[in-house]
Amino acid sequence: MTLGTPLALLLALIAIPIVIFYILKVRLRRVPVSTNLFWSQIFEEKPPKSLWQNLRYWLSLLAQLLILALLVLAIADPILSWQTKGARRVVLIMDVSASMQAFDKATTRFDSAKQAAQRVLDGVREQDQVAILTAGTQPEVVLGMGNHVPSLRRAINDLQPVDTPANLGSAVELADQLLGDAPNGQVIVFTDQATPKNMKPDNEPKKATAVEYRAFGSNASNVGITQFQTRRSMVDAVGYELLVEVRNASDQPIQCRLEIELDERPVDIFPLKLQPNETWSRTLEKTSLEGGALKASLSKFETDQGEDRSKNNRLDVDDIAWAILPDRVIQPVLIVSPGNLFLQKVFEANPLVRVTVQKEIPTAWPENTVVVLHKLIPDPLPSNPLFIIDPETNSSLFRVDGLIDSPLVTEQDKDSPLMTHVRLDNVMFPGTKKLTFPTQTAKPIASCVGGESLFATLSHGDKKAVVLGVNLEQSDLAFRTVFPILASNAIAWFSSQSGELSLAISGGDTARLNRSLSASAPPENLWLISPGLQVKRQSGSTAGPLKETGVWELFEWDANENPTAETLRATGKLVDRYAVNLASSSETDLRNANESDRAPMQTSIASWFSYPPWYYLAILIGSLLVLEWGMYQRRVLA
Amino acid sequence: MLFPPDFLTKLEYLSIMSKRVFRGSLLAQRRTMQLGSGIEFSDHREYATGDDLRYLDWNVYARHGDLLLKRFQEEQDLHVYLMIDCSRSMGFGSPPKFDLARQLTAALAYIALADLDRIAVVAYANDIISEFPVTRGKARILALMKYLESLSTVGTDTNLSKAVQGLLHRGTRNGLVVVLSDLFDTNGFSRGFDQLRSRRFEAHVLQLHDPKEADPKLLGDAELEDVENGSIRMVTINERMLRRYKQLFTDHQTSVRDYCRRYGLSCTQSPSIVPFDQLMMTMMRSAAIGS
Repeated sequence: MTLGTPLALLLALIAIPIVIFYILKVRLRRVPVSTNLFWSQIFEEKPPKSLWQNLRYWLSLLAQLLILALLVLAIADPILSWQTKGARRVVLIMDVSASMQAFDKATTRFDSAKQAAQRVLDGVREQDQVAILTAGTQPEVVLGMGNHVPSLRRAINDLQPVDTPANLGSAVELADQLLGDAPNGQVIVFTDQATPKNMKPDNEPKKATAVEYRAFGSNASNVGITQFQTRRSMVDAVGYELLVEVRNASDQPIQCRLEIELDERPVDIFPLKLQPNETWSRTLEKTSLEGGALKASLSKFETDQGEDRSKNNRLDVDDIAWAILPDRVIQPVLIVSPGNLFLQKVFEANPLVRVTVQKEIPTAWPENTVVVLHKLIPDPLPSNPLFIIDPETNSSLFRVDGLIDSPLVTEQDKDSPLMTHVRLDNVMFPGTKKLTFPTQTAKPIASCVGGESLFATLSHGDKKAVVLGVNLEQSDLAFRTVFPILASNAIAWFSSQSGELSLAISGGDTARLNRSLSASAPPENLWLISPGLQVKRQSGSTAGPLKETGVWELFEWDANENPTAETLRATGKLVDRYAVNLASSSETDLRNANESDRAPMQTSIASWFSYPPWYYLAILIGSLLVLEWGMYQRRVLA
Repeated sequence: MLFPPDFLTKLEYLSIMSKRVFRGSLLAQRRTMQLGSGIEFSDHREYATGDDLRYLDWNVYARHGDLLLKRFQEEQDLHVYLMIDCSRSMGFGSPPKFDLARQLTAALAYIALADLDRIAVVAYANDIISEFPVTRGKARILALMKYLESLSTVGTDTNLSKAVQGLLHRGTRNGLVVVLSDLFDTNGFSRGFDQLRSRRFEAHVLQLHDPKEADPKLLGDAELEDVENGSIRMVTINERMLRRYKQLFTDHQTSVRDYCRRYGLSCTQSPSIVPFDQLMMTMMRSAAIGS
């Protein structure tokens, strides 16, 4: 045992005056009375216990000296050896994933977990160190190592579940790092996913840290949307595709209705009959020129006989899913050509293009227009996106060096968006111009046998340019199906539109900001509105992590003060939207927690002796004071 | 000072008040139960040889021819015995009960002497310690006061019975006996009074006590020293015991009153803080109401 304040032992000297005063005081006061006649009668009725009378003085002195001794010891703050050896470092991991929002009985799983965590804190001793982590998509340290129990309790109480899957493995790994090399380290995981038997996390701690899993929740049934994505069609300019997946994570068949809306306009409704553990998946093709927020929602949970089965759907957060369908923009195209009907019709066939034809080089160039230059090359080149076909004269971007000897395409950039669904291999294009590019920004897309570029992309100031050296009249490119595809790809490339899958984000993930947006708008002017209408300033090139399901909106707003969601929607400029869904089969399936396998609740941290020694000494002092007070009352005041 | 300069003045005042209040019926000028050569006729008896012919009722003889002798109630001066308790318990209190007892003794003696009665003072503790012999005449009051001043509390016990026995053995003539005491008698106070009653003495009780005796402020551990016999008792007094003490004290006082009421004795109980003249007046008024 060591003492925190050894100098306090000097206070023991107070015992000397106590003893002296006690000896002086022990002589009874003598009281003369006129007669003992009546007192004798009283004490004959109840004779005094002389042994106790004599003894209690010494007991009283003993009690006083003991009180002093304990008081001195308490002030000296003793630290016992077992305290230092037995000090524990405990990390509490709270699973804040979406499934913890499920109602099992009267409370959610997360509330039960918080109560259990509070019970663990009941047993925290002064020498123990406790940290609190949350396990969402990414683990987060809520409170570092400490032993201030009120703060720990507050931190536990303030925790709220989020609409994300759980990554318990990462959380346990982080807890392991927090524990370091300290002995008596312990990790307690409060989750609905894991039981000690069958639900180990992916990555166990590297050290021999004890991990205890405390599982909550019953074997609850649930139906949820586990996937909802959309993308623009590759072949249909106004079409789009939907991928939707619904899972019946229960042991009973169920009927329900899947409704799909685009900006609150019904798109489709599917009555679903789902067998136990069945996953229903469909890819749907729809058309809409306008984009918007697609919403898929599940409702009317019934049995085959039409009985209500809402109780088989314990989790609400996965009943709705969102996806963002991008708008299609009509692209103006100016064709400057001495005349080629095929070329004109190729562009006119694209519903996203509004075509204007000029047979001579115009004196002025319209803005926001893709200029297609067929044979005619103005000098200087206009500062528009340029699609140059079969140039006859040189320009600042290229030089025409006659014709290619063997215009057989042997090489093409398959990864280029311009070549999507386009195959030019082994196709001969007679009369193709041999082009050389003095600029370093030229990137060949298709090349001939001799290495000459037949098709290339260029940077034209801050605009894009494409040069195709094929002679449309001499070759058969205009008759091939690839030509309209090539033209469509080029238009999409110019307008930065693509038919690639635009992923809805899983809860807890981050969204990458549009590169052009992050470059153009100052970061301090970007504001993010959550589905719950919380506003926060966006910083960096990624938004998030987005922990709430729904549609997040990114606004540009350049006022100085902090805006509200209403202000932003009224006066701000909507620059992007992100759909966030739970989209997790593991979170939808609430049957993970197996009650029979669940570990019994333990108070893993001792409830007793959780306070420092001075605390118990103070209790002893209090008890002795009560005893001495009683004896004083008997001795002096009776 | 036991007898301040105005003490005699107070005594004279009390003497006058006693005549007004009692109309001379308290102490002196009282008829005795003896028949003799008094003035007031009592009854007749038959003549016997040798009787004094002066007392023969000649009127009766003339009318009826019976020889009847007239009997007269004899008038005697009253003997007043003042028995003062000199035990050490009488010295207890502030002021001591003994002082008040001596002042009361002087006052009663003065009134009696003023009414031509004879008084005697008997100082006792465990026995008769000293006595002031039977005397009469107001002039003797100074000698009595000097005697009273010379008295002090002595003895190791109080024994009224033994003192009364001593008084009776002296062949004392019947009369009034006033006992001034706290009656803290371990042998019991009643035996002494019983003896007086059996010898046809008229007894009066004047019981004094100190307020501290009635309501002691004692709690906790203490050594109780009996001032009378010096005995020490180590006790631990609590509230319950204190209540019991007060109950016993009250019972003692009540028993004295009950005894006096039962046997027709006059009884005055007073705390020692009451001035003697005030107490005397109270006694006289209560006696007047009783008569």
